[in-house]
Amino acid sequence: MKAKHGLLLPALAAGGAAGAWAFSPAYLKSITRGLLYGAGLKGIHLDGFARIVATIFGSAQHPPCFAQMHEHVQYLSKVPPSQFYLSDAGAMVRATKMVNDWYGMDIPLPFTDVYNFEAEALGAKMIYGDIDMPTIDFTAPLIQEPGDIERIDTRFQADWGRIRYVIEAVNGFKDVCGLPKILVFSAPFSLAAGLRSYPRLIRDMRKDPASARRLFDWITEEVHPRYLELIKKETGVWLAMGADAWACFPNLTLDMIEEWVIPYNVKLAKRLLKMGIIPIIAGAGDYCEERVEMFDRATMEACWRTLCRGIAGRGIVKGMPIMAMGRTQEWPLEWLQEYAASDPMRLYGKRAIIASVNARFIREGPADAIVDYVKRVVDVLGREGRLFMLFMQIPAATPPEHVHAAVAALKTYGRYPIPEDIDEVKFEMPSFEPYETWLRKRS
Amino acid sequence: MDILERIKESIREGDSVLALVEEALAAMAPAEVLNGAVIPGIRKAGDLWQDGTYFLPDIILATESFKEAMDLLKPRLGVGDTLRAGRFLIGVVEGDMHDLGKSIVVAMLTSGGFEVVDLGANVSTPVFVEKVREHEPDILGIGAYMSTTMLLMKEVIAALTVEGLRDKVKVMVGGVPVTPQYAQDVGADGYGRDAMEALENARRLMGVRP
Repeated sequence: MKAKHGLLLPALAAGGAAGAWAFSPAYLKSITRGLLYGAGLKGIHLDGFARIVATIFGSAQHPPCFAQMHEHVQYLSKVPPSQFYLSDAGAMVRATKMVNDWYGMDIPLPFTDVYNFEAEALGAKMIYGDIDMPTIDFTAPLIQEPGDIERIDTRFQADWGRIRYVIEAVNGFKDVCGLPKILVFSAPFSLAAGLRSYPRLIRDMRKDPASARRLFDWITEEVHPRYLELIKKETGVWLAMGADAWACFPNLTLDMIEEWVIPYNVKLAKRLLKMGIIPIIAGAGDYCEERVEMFDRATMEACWRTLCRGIAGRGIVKGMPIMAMGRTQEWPLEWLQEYAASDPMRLYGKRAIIASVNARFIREGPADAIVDYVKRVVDVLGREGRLFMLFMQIPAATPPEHVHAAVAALKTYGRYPIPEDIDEVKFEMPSFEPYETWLRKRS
Repeated sequence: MDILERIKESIREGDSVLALVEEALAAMAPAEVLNGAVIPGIRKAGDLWQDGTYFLPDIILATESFKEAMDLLKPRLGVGDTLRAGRFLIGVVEGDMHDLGKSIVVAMLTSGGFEVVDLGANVSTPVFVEKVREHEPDILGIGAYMSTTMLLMKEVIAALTVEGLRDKVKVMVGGVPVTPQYAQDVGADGYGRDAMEALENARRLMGVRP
């Protein structure tokens, strides 16, 4: 399973192809079409998943888009939060699929509060709100003192916490969305922050590093392997994405990320590969500086280097796309493009980029500004292909017209080949039926 | 280095200050410890954060040390021992346990002369209203860190209006998903992008010069 030559994405595609052959001819068809299209054989019909594959190798008809938006899906679909987040992962997956289809996203990402499941299953105190997802009670963390890990039972069972919900959600990727099963889990640092609380964890790392190392060792050697083994046994999942938002910059300094986060991500990634699970651990080093006046090119580039290495672990894979999160609408995107071009992949040229639309920006708009931003993303970052668009957490009460506008802009301005003068492309704000009307007709 | 300098440096560095503050209190008045070491220490940390020298971990540790010192000093401080910029009541809305940002705001407001009443996290709308009535703050700060829970800010402000309290208190909002536009939309009087800006805007609302 170990990816050679640092090519994780092709390895994933190949792994996907292998898995697909065994389980679903539909995947195989999508992957084959995507591979051929990406390799230059145009004129082939691509579905959303095939567009992702094609873009890994080159370009599809347009840059593919996908979104993390569980709060928005719950808000829009009106599935009660207790059902959506607690009791009925099937309802969550179906609603996610529908809302994604309504917006015209390429693939749905049906998962919710990824930073909570493991901690909750281990016994962390949770707050279950009436209008939102459950959250860990950080004021009363499970690990109050470093020695508390000795008394925590890590022999995960399917009926602990919301593990059955997780299992149902993982199955939903395939059964409802027609995608390979994916387990989204909380990466080591983010899980440590959930179990110990961020201030205590930081204090340990700075003032009592031996305790912090013991915690990270425990998480990567015991907690995660057992948790993932159980989910794998229950679902057959072979692809796992570790989310690590707590380890973004400047939540942590780059030095801390290098010293504490990357090594444990690498360690876990190696362990999971041995278990037959392909890991993608993303988020460590994500440049999330909010203060525009603090934007610094050297720091940004250092973050991108760390982020790419950290995605699945230095020494295991290279060639991961650069994720551009944070307040990207204010970024000088040329810096990112120049960096991606300066660090090319041998087979494909410019490193792939996962661009994003900032959560507050997509909520507030206005739609014209969102369209202008997407146009700029395509113009600056997307000309050679290898560009994905991730809507990183669409907030609950986001006006749907903002999302529709962004998706339409991506598909209009991003239709290949992109003219030298992008202003030649004509764009009209999309009209759309209200979600309920659309859903009724679809039903 | 004298004891006040050591306390100041320890807060800046995020070290435990209990023993140092106790040692200082044996020799001087609480107000002297507060104004000569504790407040300058956290202010220095804030300055370092603002100029990009400090990152979140640094300011969090400094905030924790500051809190440790304040827990010891607060019961011993008399009226007039501190600057009095105003009384600030602060809490995170119901269903939301993310109070990292609030802790920094509390530290910075205190360092800026505000008497801060911290309601903690997961505060329901009726409790916000009840506490406004009880403490009669000059400013109420409402925090939210999720795009769902932020919607409750409007509810809290509406409840203050219904209870006839809205005209008696300024309202500031903050938290990761909150923007100046959103603050305006929900009818708040002020907003803080971060703790330093929250302090600056709170002072402005109180007519206090920075």
